Amino acid sequence: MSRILSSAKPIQGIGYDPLIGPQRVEEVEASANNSTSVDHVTPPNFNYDRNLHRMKHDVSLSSFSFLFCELVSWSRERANGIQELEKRLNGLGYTIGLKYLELLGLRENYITNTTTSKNGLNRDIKIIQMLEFIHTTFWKALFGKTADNLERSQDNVCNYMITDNDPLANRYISVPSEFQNFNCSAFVAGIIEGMLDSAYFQADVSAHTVETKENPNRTVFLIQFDEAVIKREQIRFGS
Amino acid sequence: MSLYLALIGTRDNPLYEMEIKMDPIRDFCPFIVHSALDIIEDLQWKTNQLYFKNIDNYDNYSISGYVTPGNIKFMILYQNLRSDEAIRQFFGELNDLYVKTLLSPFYTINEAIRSKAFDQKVRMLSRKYFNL
Amino acid sequence: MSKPYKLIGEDVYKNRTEKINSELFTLTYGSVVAQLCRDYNNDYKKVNEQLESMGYNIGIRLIEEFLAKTNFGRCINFKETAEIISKVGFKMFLNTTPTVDNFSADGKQFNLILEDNPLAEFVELPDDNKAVKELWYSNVLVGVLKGALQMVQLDVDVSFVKDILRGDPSTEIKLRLNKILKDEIPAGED
Repeated sequence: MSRILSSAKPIQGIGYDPLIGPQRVEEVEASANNSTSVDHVTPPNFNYDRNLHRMKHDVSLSSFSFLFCELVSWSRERANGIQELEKRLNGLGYTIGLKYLELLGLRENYITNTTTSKNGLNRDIKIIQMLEFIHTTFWKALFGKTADNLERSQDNVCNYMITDNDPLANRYISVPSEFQNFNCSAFVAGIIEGMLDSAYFQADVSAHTVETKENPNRTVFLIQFDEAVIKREQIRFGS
Repeated sequence: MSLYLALIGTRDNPLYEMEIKMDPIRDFCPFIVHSALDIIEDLQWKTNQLYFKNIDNYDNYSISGYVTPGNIKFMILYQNLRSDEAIRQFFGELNDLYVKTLLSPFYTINEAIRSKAFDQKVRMLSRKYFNL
Repeated sequence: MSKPYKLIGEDVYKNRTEKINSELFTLTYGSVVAQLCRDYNNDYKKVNEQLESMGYNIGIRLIEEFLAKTNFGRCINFKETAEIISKVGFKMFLNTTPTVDNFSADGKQFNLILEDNPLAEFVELPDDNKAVKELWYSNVLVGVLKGALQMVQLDVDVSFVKDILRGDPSTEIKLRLNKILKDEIPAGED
């Protein structure tokens, strides 16, 4: 009988409430018919009908730079000192990283499914796979090129370094001399940290300026994985 | 034909649940799915794949799962659904919906998905793939 | 005489602008708005103000880049300003061309209708019955326009009037010219 109901009426949703749990189809239809408080306006959501995989859309780099500069400026006002400023930038990037990983994963999956015959295999379970993903796919999606270098630290088995000779974020920012150790790519470091954490490769990521003659803005992202992650890697994959 | 779907966050918290015609064991569904989480958390480190079919069963109900790159788990407890392929495609589209939810700046990870639009879309998907 | 502003805009964007993936831009802006809402405890009026103020700081610098890349001289009238903003300005920076609408009879007010807003992609406002009535999510644009126009001696009141995120049929910004600022050195000349 409920099948007749569902084919006769359009599908309604009343939204999930974790305190109540799943709702039956009949209950959903019944409460959808009772209007909620007239005053409560629910914002619309057309996003689910939009296509995530449409043609690449871009904006000018200067728009992003202006926005980023203003973001750094605003964070600086609210922060006391360099450490806190870096933490704020890191935090802003962190939430982006959590979302970006899922988006990129979905995209890669889609591309693999539509262009080859194999099923989307798209979770990274080894540290090196994850780092490769960041070094190539992620960097390309964000900056249009792969990162310049990926290496493992000689001194500390938990540490890896990704190098970018000319990070986009820093290009239009000049750091005053009081902020000597500060690197605006703390923001990008935050994005990387968010991605690693959500993929269960907990790590601390920081950005350091290591200049060379040709590349005054050269930035090294230091990725320090938690010991637990390294241990898990050794147990599962024996490295 | 019946199913119970749960989206589970990284702290084993439910982000979303939906249940269709699971009457006899309706109250047990979250517990059954929860115990299958251990299995999937073990399996997920053995392979790169996203979809895990038939990882567990309870009486004559089966459990299949899906793990996103960000470690959100979609678990489905079902009986007599059409085919594994349908479930896999269902999960694929669900992943799409989840990412769209995630992209909103006002949604933080591990938050319950209360949106009515999301609920409606998931129910439409289950009708599309399972005729429920 | 209408110059081909559309073509100029497209040309500048295509050939003289470095581009970046719009997702990073959208997500960064989203992160800022969300953080502001947390900082101000969902006092959306304050968030609107802060967004406008940040936009203002951006606008006063953005105009220099705009003038440098386009080499435009003085506008004849406000209508021309409207055309340039929509077809060149927005195109150059946001890769979108809003429509100019509702030009008032006295030539001092118009609306910009944004069909495509890269700042607000995939955004759903919080369901607290407050945001949808009080928050103008893309309010930074208001500040940018105000700041940029002020640097070319135009005192303009800018505000959002509609936003699809709130359930309105379109996203619209209203611009009203208050006065032309007395200048010692006309813009563009020495």
